[in-house]
Amino acid sequence: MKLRDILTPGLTLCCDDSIQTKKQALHTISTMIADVDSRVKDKRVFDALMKREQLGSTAVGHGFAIPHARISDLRGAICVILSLKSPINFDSDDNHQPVDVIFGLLVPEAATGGHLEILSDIALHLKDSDYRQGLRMALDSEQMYEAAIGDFDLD
Amino acid sequence: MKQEVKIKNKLGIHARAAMKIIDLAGRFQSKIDICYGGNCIDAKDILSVMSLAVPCGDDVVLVIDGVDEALAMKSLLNLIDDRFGEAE
Repeated sequence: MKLRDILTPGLTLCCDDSIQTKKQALHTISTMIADVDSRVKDKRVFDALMKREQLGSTAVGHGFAIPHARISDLRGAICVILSLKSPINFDSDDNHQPVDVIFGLLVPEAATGGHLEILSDIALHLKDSDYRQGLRMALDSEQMYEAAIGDFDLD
Repeated sequence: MKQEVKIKNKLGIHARAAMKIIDLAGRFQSKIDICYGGNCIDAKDILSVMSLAVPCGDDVVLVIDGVDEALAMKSLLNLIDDRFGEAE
């Protein structure tokens, strides 16, 4: 399963200027997910994402974070991309680089292989500086979606 | 030093396991690479380790070079052998 398979235009949110903390970011992600899957309550998503953060920050460097969790009853894997006008503290252990682009990933409880593939795909995309730049250059949510599903050279 | 090791935990090298690898690898001075499917990556780089996506049952090769290579190798092998602290 690839990243582009689980992204939809409604789930990329560009250039938010109201979010100032990790909790607020996770809350926004939870609400967006609950909005598209009626079987899932936003509080449950939020709790799951927070629980995972407590095991260790999901910041991956370059100003990106990939908070993620498994949720039962989820129809299928979902990825939300959120970009922030001002970077926030994501409690990362190394250089404490603040985060301004967040990939929120939810997978169904039973998923194993597919989950691994998506995370791997996200990580591969984020290794590419052109891809990262593309996301940051987006001026609105639609542009961000286009940048997120865009192709890049894997060599 | 080089050593092949099997990934035994059910979820394979998923995000949490990757973080544990990076965390541990980061404590050593030696250069630490993980090789899988003909691809060798730096075990201290989060995105590189996460992009490996090694499933349960597959083998990886640890390639470690430096002053503390023996300790690094032992520690990483322990981590993997211990299923990254996961129950299964």
